[in-house]
Amino acid sequence: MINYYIDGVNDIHFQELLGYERINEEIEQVMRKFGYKPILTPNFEYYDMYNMDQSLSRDKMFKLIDKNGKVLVLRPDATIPICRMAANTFKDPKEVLKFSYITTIFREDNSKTNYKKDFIQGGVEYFGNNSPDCDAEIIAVAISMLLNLGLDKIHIDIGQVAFLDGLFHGLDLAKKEKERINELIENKNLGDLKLYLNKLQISPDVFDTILKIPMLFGSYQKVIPQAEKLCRNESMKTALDNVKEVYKMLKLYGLEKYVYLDFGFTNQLNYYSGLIFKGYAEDWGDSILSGGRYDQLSSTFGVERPAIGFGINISLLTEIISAEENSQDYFDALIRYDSSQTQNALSLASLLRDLDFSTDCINKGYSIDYEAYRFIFEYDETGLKVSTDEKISPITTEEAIDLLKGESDL
Amino acid sequence: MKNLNIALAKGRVASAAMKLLIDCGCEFPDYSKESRKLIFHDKKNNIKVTLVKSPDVPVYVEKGAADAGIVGKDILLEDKADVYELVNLNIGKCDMCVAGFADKKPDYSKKITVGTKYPHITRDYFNKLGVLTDIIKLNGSVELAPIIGLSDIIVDIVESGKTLEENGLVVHEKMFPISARFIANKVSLKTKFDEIQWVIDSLGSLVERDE
Repeated sequence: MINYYIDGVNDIHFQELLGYERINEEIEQVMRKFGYKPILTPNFEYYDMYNMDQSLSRDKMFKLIDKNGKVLVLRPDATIPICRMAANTFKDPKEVLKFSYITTIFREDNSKTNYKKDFIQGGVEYFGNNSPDCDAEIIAVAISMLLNLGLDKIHIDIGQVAFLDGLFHGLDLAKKEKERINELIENKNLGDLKLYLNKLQISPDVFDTILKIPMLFGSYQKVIPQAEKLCRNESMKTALDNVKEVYKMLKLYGLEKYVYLDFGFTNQLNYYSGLIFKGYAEDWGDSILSGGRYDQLSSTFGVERPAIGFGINISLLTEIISAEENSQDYFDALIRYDSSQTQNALSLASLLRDLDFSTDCINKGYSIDYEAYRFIFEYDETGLKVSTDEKISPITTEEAIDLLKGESDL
Repeated sequence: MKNLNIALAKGRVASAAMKLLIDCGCEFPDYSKESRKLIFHDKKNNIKVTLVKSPDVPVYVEKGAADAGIVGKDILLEDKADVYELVNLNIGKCDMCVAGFADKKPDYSKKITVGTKYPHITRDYFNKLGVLTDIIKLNGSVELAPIIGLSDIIVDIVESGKTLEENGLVVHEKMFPISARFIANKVSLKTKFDEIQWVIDSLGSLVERDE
């Protein structure tokens, strides 16, 4: 027998899928509460669209070729197509658009300990509003989702891409050099950062400022005074003010206790332009959600429109809360029957289904797992019976219906 | 203090790192270089040290099975891990080198065969130089490869050069220096910051002094 199992993908079984559904419901509930409209974009997009701003590495995408020879990709990211859709359909940049989605993301995720080809992601995107209240709302949505799922030890790290960009602004550094510095800061690689900065033509105080950024993280009270001292120009100050404003708003939501800062977050997806954040919970060694502001992305689709959003990894969530749901009582009734009673059994099943009871009907000659049924009935030559672990007792059709309705007990 | 889990690369790095930790005030009563034990507890500072094979250190740390780890830069370069690389410890220093026979300098205008434990590093390095290579991944005793004609040259870490010398090889090029790094899990650094900071500070002060 040939094994057709593909590395990096999963079958989702019944009980597991129930777990996914429960998580989806909790997440959808929060999206709706905050006024986000659910939408879906196609599974296919043009490869060129993703290659445009090089925010995703080419070898992480799954490419296909359509009839005309155009290269397509399976949706490797949700934000870019939603931004495209918003720009295609809604031309007024002043209009506020709030969208939510739950969808599959197809992307090679090849870390040392994990290999995935796809995962399910939920998320929201908020267009047309660049105020700190909008930033705060997005973070509040993220925290509310984690809270709604009953997660413990929630930790949100907020960073500001514009802070580091502001620092780079007045400096005469090549793009490559900035990228290398970004990379070293992102990995908090202080040793190599020091060596690398030594090679560059920068003043000693810029040197010291850059070197402090990787460790510029922790509680708001601790980090803000340190960050204030590092401000060298207006754009850094503006970036910092934005973080302060957002934090103030989050206090209004009463969620500030979950919020920490990390100015060492750099722009890993090229489109981020301002606030960025990541969320952790339960001491899990990986971030569950991440997002940020991308005010310039929409202009590549012809509409100037600020935007912010985030995505939450639902596949990872199911692992963290090991969300296998109990499938007991998933169906209302199972009718097992002898071949001679086929007609009786089938008409009983129709009757129950008309009354909106989920009813399975299977000949006794076949085996089946009894797990998922509330009640098990048997039809043999002596009539209808109800069967429990302890006993099998005769029952009339009316009594069976009462039982299903919960109007009587066994 | 919260419990802190540190994974160390067995061998050269581990003994140097254990010395650093003990100099910082950690107490591992049952540790000695000869010990075969793999786990050591410092009850005073609530630190647990696990000795694992060096390529596994980043795996433990990335997955969060260990909060932090000490491992050579060669391992981190060969197999990229999603971890914070916080401190250059300046221990376990050596160089990544291209080596071969003294009288047979490799001809980079032709395709060359390279034996190495580090296929990724080797590929990246020669790609940048625009040199065509056949890379043979070996798991040890790389010096043998040119001697028995398996490869033209080798890429390996060289500490004193003694092993090369004894096998009749010389260093052709030093690629870049290697030293041990203190790495941390991205979430642990946030959730166990004080504990990790304590270790960094202790290790860092020792490192500064050495420089």
